[in-house]
Formats: sequence, structure tokens, C-alpha cells
Amino acid sequence: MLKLLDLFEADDPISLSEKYYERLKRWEERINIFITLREWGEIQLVHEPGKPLSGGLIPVKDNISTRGVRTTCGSRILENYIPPYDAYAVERLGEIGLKVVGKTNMDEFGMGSTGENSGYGPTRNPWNTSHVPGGSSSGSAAAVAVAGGTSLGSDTGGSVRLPAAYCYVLGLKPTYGLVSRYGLVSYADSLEQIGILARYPEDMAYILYHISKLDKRDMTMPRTEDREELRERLINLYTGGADGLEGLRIGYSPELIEMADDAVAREAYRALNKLVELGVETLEIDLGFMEAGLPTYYAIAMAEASSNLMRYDGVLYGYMEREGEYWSSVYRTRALRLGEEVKRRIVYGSLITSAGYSGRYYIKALRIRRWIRDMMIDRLRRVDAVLMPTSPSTPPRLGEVEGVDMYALDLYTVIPNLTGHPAINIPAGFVGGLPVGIQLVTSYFNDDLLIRIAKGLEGVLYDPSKEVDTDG
Amino acid sequence: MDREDVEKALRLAGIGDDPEKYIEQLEKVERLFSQLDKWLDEAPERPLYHPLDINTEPRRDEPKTSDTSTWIEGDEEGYVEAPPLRRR
Repeated sequence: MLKLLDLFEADDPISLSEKYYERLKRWEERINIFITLREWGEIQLVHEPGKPLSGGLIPVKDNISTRGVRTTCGSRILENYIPPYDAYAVERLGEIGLKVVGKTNMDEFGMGSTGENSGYGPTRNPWNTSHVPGGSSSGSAAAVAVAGGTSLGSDTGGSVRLPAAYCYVLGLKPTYGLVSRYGLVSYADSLEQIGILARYPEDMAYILYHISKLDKRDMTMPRTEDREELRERLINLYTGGADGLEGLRIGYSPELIEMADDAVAREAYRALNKLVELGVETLEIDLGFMEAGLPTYYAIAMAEASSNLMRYDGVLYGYMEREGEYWSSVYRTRALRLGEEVKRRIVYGSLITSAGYSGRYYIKALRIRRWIRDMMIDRLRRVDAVLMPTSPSTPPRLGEVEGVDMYALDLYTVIPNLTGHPAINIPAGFVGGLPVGIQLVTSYFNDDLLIRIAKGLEGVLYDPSKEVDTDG
Repeated sequence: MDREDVEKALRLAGIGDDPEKYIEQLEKVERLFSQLDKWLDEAPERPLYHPLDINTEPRRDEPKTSDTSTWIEGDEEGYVEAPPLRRR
């Protein structure tokens, strides 16, 4: 199981990467991790002096632009799109010597919670291939589960944390505006962030340090000292100077935890008990407002999606199904080349933002979003972080949940996207052989605390080196 | 929302698809969104939340200001700096 920071001290990092690549390739045939897995010879790993992780590889979600490497967003409408530039996060990884090994499978344009809504076939859960790996960063989570290292994903309503929970890895959605979205293909701009999946907390801290540098090309990145203070704390974390967890105050709501399946709720309580053993003070707090998250999130996400995805008409980008006149071709292209879930969200998004309906749903959702944000800020004044399950259930079987019914899986994860707070999934254990995770949320630009808690729970709650059973 | 609304939305969205496919799931979406009313009473009338932490309201003056807006200039590194959002 590769620990990325081991490449620092390895005598031959390229041979470590070759083993990592072979492992990915073996699993790729079984569970469909990648949409584009580059050939070993094409990647051309070389040692580059001055680049600390040179010789290293990283999988990147297929909605993050990579110069010269096809970027489909999991959609057939972009199956021939090759970006002319790198996303800022990818540029930064290149500066420390990491090369993109491939583009990971995902729910089309990030719209899905199971990993099944990809135009390139579903990814399967490596721990049990009859089950889903979670989405939408399904391939990014599966890659880290089978081979270690880190990967980039994106998180609009839980798309990093949910697959991380279902695949037994760490998954971080940073504070909104901490990581540049330059080069991330937009689905819902006000909600999404590039996130990190990893096995080891130090790897996560190191990658976050590098990709959180201020980028002038993203106007949603606040120019704040909080960012630089956070980045200094991240250095402390990845160099092994993390403080313990004694004295932290963590809030939880029994009502909220018990909305999950019994076995999942039990794992959340087990995690709370472990934290108490580590010297953490736990407090019951009222998080009832989180129930407002799902309708609020979906109204806003669909509205933003309907606007963002208008550009895919086969003219500016992607593939065109030509038929008769211009508009007929556009209508046909979008009908045939976009997946069912994507079309559903575009159509419902168009509906709720159209005259006559925007007041009924969209404006209300914006108002409730503001209230949810204020409530979350208030709760995080009383405690350092709040804890809950990441998903209300274990990973469903492939094909078990579809369409609108799937939205319920996002019960716990949508709130940090609505409010902009950072959140992490930490593996908590297994139920019936399937992984279960807990989610922690903390205040703005306090992302390092989440990684510190993950570090504190390493070896106590979860084992980052745990190998996936090769019989799957 | 009814079939006519779905047909209109499909036209707006530029998708040449069968409206019937959307009607079945539409009921579930409406049921989900109808929960918003339950929470609206809790949410006080306040400026809407914006991810940039700037209090915003829906803009209504776009056509007037667009005539007088100035060109964005590139900075020394060759990137353009977006103009600051105006507080309202």
C-alpha cells in the first residue's frame, strides 16, 4: 500500500511507482477505475532534481482538466475532448514532481452518489464487487483503496466523502475557496471544490498544502491570512508534528446519527467512544437544521447545473449528432449524448428557475441556505468539530438505488457544500464486510484540524495499510 | 408542474427527449422540494448567502450598468483580475 511521502526517501521512486502502476492496472480490469489509464511508456517518469516527489504518480478525476490528456467528465458528449491546459491543482502537483497516471471514472459531470452514472460503465467497490463504490469520485476512491497513494476528486454534495466512506479511505472536501477551481469543469459553482483522497493523513496534508496556494485565476479564493496560517499548520502536520486530540470538543446529535441504519449508527458511536479515550470531550448539540439540507441542496445544484451544462451542445465542445438543421442537431446531440441523470437535473433545474417557479423553490432554497450556514457557524462556535456518519447506509448493491431515490444517500454530506465548511470522511470500520465512514465538519480554514483528527484515530479506529482482499 | 411545463423545460434546455421519461420522477422531485416550505418559517428574511461571504441580493440593474462598465485590465503576471463585487 503506497504511502506517497515514502517517495521522498526512496532510493528508486520510479520502481515504487511501477509497482503501484501494475497494481492499478490489475484492478482496472476488474473494477473499471479509469476512463483513461495512460500507458506506462507514455508517462515517461524521470528523476527531476528539486522536485520532492519526482517519479511519483497520481490519479485525477476526469472532470479536472489535464493538458493533452482526454477529459470526458464521465460523459459521452465529451468523449473526444482534450483540454489545452492543466487545472491549477494539476499544475501545482507537476511542480512537486507528480505526473497524472490516468483520469478516473466518475458519475457524469459529478451527478450521482453511487458511481453508476458514468458514460463509461460503473466502477465497482473493491471490497465487494457486487456493491457500488460511491460517487461521484468513484474511480479516485477505488484507486486509493486498492493501491494507496492519493488522488484528486471533486466534491459538490459529498462526491469525495461518500466514495471515501464506501471504499475505506480518507476523503477531504476543503473549505470553499481554499483550493482553486481553475480547470475544474463546473457543475454547481457555488458548491463544489477539488478534494483529496488518501490512505495516510500526512499524504493528504502534503497535497493540500501544495494545491491550496493562492491562484489569481479563481476569484472565489479569498485573499486571507487564514489561508497562509492554515498552510503553515499543514507543514507541521506532514512533517510529523501533529498535536494530540486532548482537550478538543466534538459535538454530535443522537437524533441525526440515529437517522442512519442501526449498524452504521453503532459505528459512529464507536468512533465517538474512541475519541473520548483519546481525551476528547463530546457534547450533544442540536443539529436538527441539517434535515433541511437535501431539498435545499438539490434545488440549488439543479439550478446551477442547468446553467453550467448549456455549453455542451456539440458546437463549442464535444461530439455533435448531426441531423437536419442546426437546432435539430443540438437537440438530438444533447438527448443522445447526455446521460439520464444529467438530463433530469438540467430539465428540473430549468423548470425551477423559470418564470413562475423560481419563487416557489429556488429563492426559498437560497434563503434556507443562508439560515443553514448561520446555524452551522453558531454550532461551530460551541465545539471544535461535529461528528456524524458519512452515509446513512453501507454501500448499496449495484442497481439497488436509482434516480431521485439515490439523493437520500447524501443526507449527511450536502450541508458542508451549502455552507462552505470543510469536512472529512474517516474510515470507521466494516459492517457485513462493507466499509463505513464517519464525517467530521469544522470551521472555515480549519481544515488541518480534520486531518489531525484523522491522524489521531489512525491505528485506533482505522488501519490505513489495510489491504483489499484480492479475491474481492 | 405538469406535462406542459416539462415540455417547455425540455425546449429551454435544448434536449430533444420524450417528456414522459421526466414526469414519473418529477413527482418525487416535487415531494422533495415541497419540504422547503417546512423550513422556510425557521429561516429569517436575511440577505442571501453568497460563497464569497458577501451579502447579495438578486441583481436587477444589469442592463443599466452593462453600458457603463469598464474594461478589465491585465495585471503584471498576465492574468486578469476580476473587478471587485459591489456591496449592495
